[in-house]
Amino acid sequence: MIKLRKPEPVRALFEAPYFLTEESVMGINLDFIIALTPALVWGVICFGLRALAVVLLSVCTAVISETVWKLIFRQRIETNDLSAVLCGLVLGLCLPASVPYWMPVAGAFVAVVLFKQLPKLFGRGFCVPAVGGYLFLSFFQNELTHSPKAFEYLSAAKFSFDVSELAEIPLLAVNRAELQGLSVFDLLLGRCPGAIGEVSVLLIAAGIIYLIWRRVLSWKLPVYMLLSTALISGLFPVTLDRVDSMFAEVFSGAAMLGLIVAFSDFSGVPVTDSGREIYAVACGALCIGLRYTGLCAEGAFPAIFIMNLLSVPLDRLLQPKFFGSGKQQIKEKKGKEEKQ
Amino acid sequence: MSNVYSFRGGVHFTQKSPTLKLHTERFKDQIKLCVPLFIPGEPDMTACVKAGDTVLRGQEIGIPSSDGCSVHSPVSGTVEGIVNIRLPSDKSREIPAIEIFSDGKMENIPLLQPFDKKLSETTPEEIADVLKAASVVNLNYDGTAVYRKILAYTGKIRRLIINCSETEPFHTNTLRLMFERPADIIGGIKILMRAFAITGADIIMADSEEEADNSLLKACGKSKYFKIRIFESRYPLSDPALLTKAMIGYEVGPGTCPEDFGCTVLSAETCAAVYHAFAFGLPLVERRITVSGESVTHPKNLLVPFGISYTALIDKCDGIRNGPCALIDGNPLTGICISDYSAPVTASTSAVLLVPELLCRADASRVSACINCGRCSAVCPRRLLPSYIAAAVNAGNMKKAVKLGAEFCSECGLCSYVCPAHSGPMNRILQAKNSAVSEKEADR
Ligand code: SF4
Ligand code: SF4
Repeated sequence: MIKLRKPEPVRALFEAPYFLTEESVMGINLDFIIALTPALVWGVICFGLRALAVVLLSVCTAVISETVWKLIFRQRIETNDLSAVLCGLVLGLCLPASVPYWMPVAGAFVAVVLFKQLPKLFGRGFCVPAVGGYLFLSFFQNELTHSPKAFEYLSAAKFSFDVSELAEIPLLAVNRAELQGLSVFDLLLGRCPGAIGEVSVLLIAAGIIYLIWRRVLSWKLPVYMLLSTALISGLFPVTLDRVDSMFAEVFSGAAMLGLIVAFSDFSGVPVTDSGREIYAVACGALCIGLRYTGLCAEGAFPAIFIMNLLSVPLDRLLQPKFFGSGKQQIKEKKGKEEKQ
Repeated sequence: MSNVYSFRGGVHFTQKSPTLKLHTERFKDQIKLCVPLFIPGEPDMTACVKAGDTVLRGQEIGIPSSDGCSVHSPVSGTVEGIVNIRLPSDKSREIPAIEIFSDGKMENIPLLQPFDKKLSETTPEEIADVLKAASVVNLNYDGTAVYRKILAYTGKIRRLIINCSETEPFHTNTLRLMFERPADIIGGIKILMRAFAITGADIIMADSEEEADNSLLKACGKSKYFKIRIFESRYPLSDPALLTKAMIGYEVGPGTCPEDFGCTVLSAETCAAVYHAFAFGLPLVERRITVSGESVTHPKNLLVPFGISYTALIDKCDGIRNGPCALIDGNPLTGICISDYSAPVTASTSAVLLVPELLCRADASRVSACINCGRCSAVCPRRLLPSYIAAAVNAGNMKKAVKLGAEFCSECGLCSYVCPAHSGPMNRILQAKNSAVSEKEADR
């Protein structure tokens, strides 16, 4: 029989150290939410109220399903740590504004139940839950790869739209060596079709800078991930122009949003420094690799998921030597003892 | 500073120490003391005075059953009785303690004489004898007698490391000693250099503002014997293993001690005590203690006789304010929470901290499960992955926890301090460490 872990953390209330950091889980999650807010605001400006409705649905579903789960399993309800809100927000931002309304609901439900709470019963989470939810939704590729054009507001009241009315997200167009008349500049500012949170590269960058400034993330991680994305796409260009192709790959789709998403829940991220760096580099490289194979709509999310699964082995592999376990000094000590 | 030493991990505590600029006050009120007859690593002791006797400061009141240090009266006054107490650091056994009512005069016993030979003519054995008679112990560290170190390691030690840094939150006792009595520290270091038969000492200081420009730096001047080593100011700088690594490059693991690698680490307080034993013949009966924390009305640095109760210290600082608080003996990251305020202060107490209960208590609404944020592994000075070890312990898998290095933990408490989920990984690791130790003992 599988032994279920006692879900409540075990910590005596009065034990050393008697001095605790002011930081909290809620603070960290709040920082991520703040970092994602500019992208959300731009998404709403770009795609109208329907974008806001999609994100709100996703957030609400995530919070409600977490609460219900905790009621069922009699765990302490801690919605105030904002992790469910963050999970829903991330998932909402990864979806285009035109998805039928059942998608954010189903995605957030799967993310929270299957990828956030269930693994915690057996130990710790193993992946970024929002990514799990997105991958579940990518069985419905058509909805995910089409979005309204920028500033073409869709009615928030309509449940779903026919794919043929919508524009294709530029990422797939890149693979066909055409950008639908969009310039790199358009991609940078976010005047293009795309998922709600991923269109404005500049505002996402602002969010990342905020996270680095708050020291939630080391500057190395997003920078390494960005560089590896750029390097791979520059080395193997899809269009004739290397530089053009590089910018198009980095600025289109979820490559930028992925920089935040990959770290938005640490359960699937290695804890060692070198492990985190490898994780960042590999996420960036795999993202482009998977795009080229054309297996899935967006390379960034499956890339993150694959690396999440590898995080524990990475940590164990890269675990530094314990202080004082060096071989050479043990030998020396033995030698000394023999002499005496 | 051209050359600042560093070490992996650690945290710089930025909170203000209210006692930094306060001159140390000597505690000499008329009060009842309870002096425990106990020195770590020494044989059991029995009382050699009885109720009603008059004792003078420095008089022997407890003698060891076999070769070892004795306990001296910290004050002059009357013996009120002999009782059995349990120390908060070791609740498992009872030790005798002598209750003395101080007359407030601090009259020294006339037998106390300064050591009158020239330092260059003494032998290590003579120095050890003086330190044994004065019961000088290694303050701030394990609290064992210094003379045993000298007898065991003279000739085998190549580096004498004197830790003069202060990186623990709230603590200012070492700093005050450096400002007030630099000559004592220097004198003590010279004696210890002679005792270990070496010609140099490394003086460790932190590069914090507080420690810059202190009188000890000036007192050392350009002496070629003392090398000042400036370290980045981060807790746990005082950890002997880290200092050894920085000085001679060897990492001290479990089951070894710095002395195995020709290094010994002593604190500035110990040096001052050594100097007092030589210059005045005075046994180690008092020490500087910082009484601080947000719940003390007037935080102070006090020079207190051993055996004084926590209550007396709190009263001296005008009592508690701001409601319920916890009393912590020592450093807030590793210290002991004291519930019995009438217990005596011993040589192992470096500070007495009163912190609001709400702040130090990880109350249920703040504690959650580990979120794998990696802060603990970033600060661990022993390069462990505390979150992994704690997870293994929570799953009841002690074998795995030990394999992940639980035994290498130095119990510095930083992983629990930085944890945003307040899940307290250190205590999980200690569980694994203790179970490993007891298993090894069972094997024997
Ligand atoms: S208490 Fe142990 S595991 Fe935690 S940081 Fe200190 S040495 Fe590392
Ligand atoms: S600091 Fe706390 S929450 Fe973060 S990884 Fe360590 S144990 Fe987990």
